[in-house]
Amino acid sequence: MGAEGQNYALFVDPDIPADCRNLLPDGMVILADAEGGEEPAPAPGRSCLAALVSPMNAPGWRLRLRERGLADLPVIEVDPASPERASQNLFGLLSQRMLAAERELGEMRAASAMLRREGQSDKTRFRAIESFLYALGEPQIARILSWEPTGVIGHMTRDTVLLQRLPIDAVSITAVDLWLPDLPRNRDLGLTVAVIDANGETLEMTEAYGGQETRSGWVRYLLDAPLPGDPRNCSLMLRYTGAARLAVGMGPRVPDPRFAAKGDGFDNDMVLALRVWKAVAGASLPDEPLVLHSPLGDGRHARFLSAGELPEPELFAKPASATDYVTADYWENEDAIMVHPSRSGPVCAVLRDVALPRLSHITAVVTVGHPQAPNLNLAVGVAPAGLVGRDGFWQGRIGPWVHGLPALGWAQAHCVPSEPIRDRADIFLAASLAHDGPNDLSWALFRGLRVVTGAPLDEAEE
Amino acid sequence: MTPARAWHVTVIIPVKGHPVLIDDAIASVERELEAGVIRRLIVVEDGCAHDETRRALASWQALLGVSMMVLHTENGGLSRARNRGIAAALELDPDLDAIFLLDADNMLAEGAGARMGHLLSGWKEADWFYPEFDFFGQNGQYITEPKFDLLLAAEANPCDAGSLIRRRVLDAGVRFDEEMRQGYEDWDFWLQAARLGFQGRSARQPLLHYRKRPVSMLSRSHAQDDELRRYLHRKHDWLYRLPKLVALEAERFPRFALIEGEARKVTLCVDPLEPRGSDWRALERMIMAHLADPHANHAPVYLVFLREGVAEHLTSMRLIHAMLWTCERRVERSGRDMELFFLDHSDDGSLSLVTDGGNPERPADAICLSISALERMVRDPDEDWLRRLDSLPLPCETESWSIRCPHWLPESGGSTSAAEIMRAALLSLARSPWRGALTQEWNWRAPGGAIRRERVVQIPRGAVEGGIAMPLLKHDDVRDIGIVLPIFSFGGVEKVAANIARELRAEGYRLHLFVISDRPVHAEPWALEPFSTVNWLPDADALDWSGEEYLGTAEPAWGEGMQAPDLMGLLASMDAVINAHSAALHKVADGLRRRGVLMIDHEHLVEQSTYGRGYGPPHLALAYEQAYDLFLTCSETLRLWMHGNGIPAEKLIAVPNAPGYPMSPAEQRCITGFRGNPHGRRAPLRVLFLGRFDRQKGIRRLCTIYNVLAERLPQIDLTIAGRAVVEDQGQQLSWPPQVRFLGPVLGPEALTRLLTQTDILVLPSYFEGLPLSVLEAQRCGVVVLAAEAGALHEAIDEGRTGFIVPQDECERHIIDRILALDRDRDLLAEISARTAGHSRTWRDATATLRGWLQERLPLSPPVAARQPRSLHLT
Repeated sequence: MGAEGQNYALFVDPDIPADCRNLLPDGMVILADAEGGEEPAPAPGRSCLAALVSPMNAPGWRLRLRERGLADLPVIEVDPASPERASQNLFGLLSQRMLAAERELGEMRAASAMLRREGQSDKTRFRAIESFLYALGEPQIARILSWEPTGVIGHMTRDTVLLQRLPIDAVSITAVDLWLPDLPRNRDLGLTVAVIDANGETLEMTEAYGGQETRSGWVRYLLDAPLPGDPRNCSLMLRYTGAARLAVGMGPRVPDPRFAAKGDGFDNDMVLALRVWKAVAGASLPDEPLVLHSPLGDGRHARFLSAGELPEPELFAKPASATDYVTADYWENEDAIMVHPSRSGPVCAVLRDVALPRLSHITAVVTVGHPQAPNLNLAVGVAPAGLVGRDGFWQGRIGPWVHGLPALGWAQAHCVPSEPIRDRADIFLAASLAHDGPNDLSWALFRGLRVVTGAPLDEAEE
Repeated sequence: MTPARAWHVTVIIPVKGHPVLIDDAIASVERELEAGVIRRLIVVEDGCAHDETRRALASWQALLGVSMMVLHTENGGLSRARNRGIAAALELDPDLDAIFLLDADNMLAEGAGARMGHLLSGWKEADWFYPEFDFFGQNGQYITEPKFDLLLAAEANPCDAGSLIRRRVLDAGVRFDEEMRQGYEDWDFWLQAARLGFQGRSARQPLLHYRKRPVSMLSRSHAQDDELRRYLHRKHDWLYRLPKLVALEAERFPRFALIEGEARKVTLCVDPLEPRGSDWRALERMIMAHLADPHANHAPVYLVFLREGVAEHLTSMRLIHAMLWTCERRVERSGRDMELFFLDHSDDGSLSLVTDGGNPERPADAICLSISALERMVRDPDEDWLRRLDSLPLPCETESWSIRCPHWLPESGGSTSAAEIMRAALLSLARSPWRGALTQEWNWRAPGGAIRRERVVQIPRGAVEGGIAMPLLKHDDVRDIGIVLPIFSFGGVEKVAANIARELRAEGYRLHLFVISDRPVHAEPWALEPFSTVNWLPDADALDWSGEEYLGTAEPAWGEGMQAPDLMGLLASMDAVINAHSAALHKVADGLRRRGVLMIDHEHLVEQSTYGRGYGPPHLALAYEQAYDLFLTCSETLRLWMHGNGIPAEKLIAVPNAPGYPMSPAEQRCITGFRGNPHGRRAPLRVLFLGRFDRQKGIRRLCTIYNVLAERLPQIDLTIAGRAVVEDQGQQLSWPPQVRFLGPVLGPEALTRLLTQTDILVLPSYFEGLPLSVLEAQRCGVVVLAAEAGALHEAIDEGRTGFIVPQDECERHIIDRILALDRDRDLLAEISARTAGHSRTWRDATATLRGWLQERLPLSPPVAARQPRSLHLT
């Protein structure tokens, strides 16, 4: 905004003799109260310097100036008998203003210099901190929110939108991972993921394709840059335009309706399974994240199998010394397979003869189902169907254990087959106690399995 | 409508002090001018002591040109400066759409200008938009309510002054209160706007950066919080009235969840007669959502688990309000997690409330559990303990209370007990599928001054000094009148109260009975019929008479701690309260009156001590003259006495007593005919005493009279009906053998039958008011012989409608008169015929009172008197 409208004003009492008024610059004089004149008053763009008034009118002028929003405006009395006094006062006033302005200008220069000095000091310190962070391994992002998959799968169909409110501040969000367990190997998926902030801005994210999705089901979406600005609310929006149904992993149930994922076909009380990452101190992630690259079109197929789609579990192995309660069972109401470990050691259940052609990866969505349960270890394993006998060495086919999962905790256990699976496989679900203690309420629940195979399961079933 | 032109917002900055920080504020506005929504800045320099401020403004004026206008005023306070700025903005820009008030030490957020345009376009119905509380300096982000809620706004200011305000709010005349120079003027501004029906909503996006410092005008305001709140309460008494706040509470924040029976049927309510249906699953979700984010999600604060049928029975007995109020009070005042309730059968037909029942080994009919106790049980559940919750006694520290009422036949172990229902509910919550939500934060903002939803129940209490608010919803077409008594037990005061209640109900008022003591209610069914609710304040010390004396009459010591506020909470929803001899109520009468309740005192009787000194309720009432709008008396005589003792004549209305129970015109005609045809002229006289056995009634005199009559007229029929209430003197006296003791005669039919079989009623009392028994006897043609006392002369025209004898030698005078009437049966018949079938009606008696009430509590016509639900008491 320029100063085009700016003008200085001197309010002049019409009772001042004309020869005195004529000494004043035309553009600045506002003849107040005379016919055709105006009331002394502030106006946009007008900077009032003083009022020049007849001595006999001075008290009335002071009162009016106060009432009209010009309190403290200097009033200079112009005595026709000694006009030089008024001239001296006016010049004195202007000199004072100029002196004050110049002094302030000087102070501003001093302040600018001081702020630059402080800025340089901050930069130096920040550089030292940055060096330290590099030494620490260059941390760039931190997980700020994590809702683990619970085995419930929602499905998006063509031209639908899903909204997930996030209970976090939007600033510095840089990446979001979604669990899309059935994701086909197709970069033209048709899924747009965006962050919508409280200002109504929609910030589209880019899929960080790196082959990871067929390994664990997690797919990362990145923003071009961490979200700047003031702290504010935000939501995640998924817009799907693909042809096939898209399986979206759901997270825990939430009582607060504001946070349940909302969209066509999503009228339940669950959040999306997701992980949100924030940039550390504004760092940006590279477009291609630090993940393993794998060639496109390798013919892999991913599929999530709920517990109900799998064969009935059988108790496969338990410690010889176990005298406490152990079991392996399918709970229909929970749609989960429960493996109850022994205090004496791990208990293993088997799901026999499942068609898993050219299986390359299996992931189990696991939870500790009872609020009073002790911490549990859980694992999933796989072997060609019938290869492992009842007394066989099943531990060798088990993937890494999820250790010490607390009551009501959620996690995923993974396994890469140690022998090639050609067609059919036995799946092992194992649980043990994390600490020595009674095994009461040790509800190790396997909610479902995500499998990556070399052929579509539907074909295998046919 | 979005204007065809761009929005025009003017930012107004009042400045006093902050000659340097004003630069940041103005610079933030300058930056936002580019978006084209903010088009003008008005700075009001409020007599700032710093010349530097004026120089800074001159510099900015030079930079901003016509986009800026500066007013220089004498210091008049923040409100005045803002108002000057508002006036200038309205005058300067006819196309102004909204203003934004920015303090001189705050800053607009980046992008605020464009966002203001979006807000104005996107939320047409919103009248003002308040920003999130985003602080710098003392950094912080605090929660704001998504929408302006009047109940929450009654407790705390939800909106910063730095808000975007549409022009229509200003055009309606809403301005800052220039009297408020210590702070909270913005709070007042929003309440003014809300009163006019304007609605605010959160901008939900950053508009403003608020500089928070340890010492500021706001922090100074907090230091004077009490004083400023008092001012707001006085100024906005349209809001700070209990019924208004309870109504607001009921709109969004149900106070109770009633969970009934094994199926856990759920109703949510403030007023149990206006319930909102729900189900257990929904309530479970509501509770878990509250526990997960208590600043955003409400759940009922009191969970009441009820055996099947208990709520229905309490409702039919009109006791459900009393039950819930007492539950709430006991939980709040005891600090215990839960309170047990028993609904017991009353053997004697009375209705009573019994406190302090301990933790007995019998299953409770209801259990009241606070949400805070529930939270402890659910957050870290001990399932073993929860599973044992149905054991007896309950495995926790608790207390119980009970209501005993007739016609309640508890099932013998058949239905599920309250503890079993609670146990199942708590286990369900402990295993809730939503429990995982409790381990996570759901709001990244800090609570700041936000109100946890379990605190909402306390907001209405603020109108009554923290007292527990009666869960009663009022309606525009209903006027509520409470009748307050210290006891309700067959007495004359009670009968008068019941008759007045009946007449007022017929007029269209809704009546409520309040008993301010822990005494049982003994009442005939007709006496409780007019009342829509029956309530207690069951404090034993409300009748202890050990407090200070006034003119020789002691008050109860009652009223300590939260007792008095609780009584105000119980009564402040009434439009009018009639105090029938409750001394405890006097102590809060002035408080209630100041809260807009019409206070009416009703006096009946000046009592006499053994030595003849007058004392009693009328004397205490004199002490509280200023606390009442009106005084009723049961007689003209007492009206004159009250006037003579200092009550202004304009505040006195006599409601002269009429017979204590109703009688149909047909019945009265029948009695008139019957008395016109008296039984045998020489049949033995039938003499009756009807009343309490105590000193006041002259029971020793009666004994003398009956002994002499038995000797002089051996055939005479002598009857006594009544019982000792306070003293037990009748048992120690020697009565002639032919005296019949009937005990209490209950019910109109029995009383009428007794009176129609009586010739003479004797009343040798030492002192009286205007006894109902006299009026009832006269209506049945019984000739009354009474010792001179109180206002008896208003009922008895000596020699024409009965006889009044002197107090001196009262026994001799009564005996002589009875012997004379025995001889002169014609005179007896003549007097009997003169009174039989004639009586004043309560309709007549209350005419002046009804007129007085109608002037002050106009009923919106036509209001049909609601038929009371029948209440069967024997």
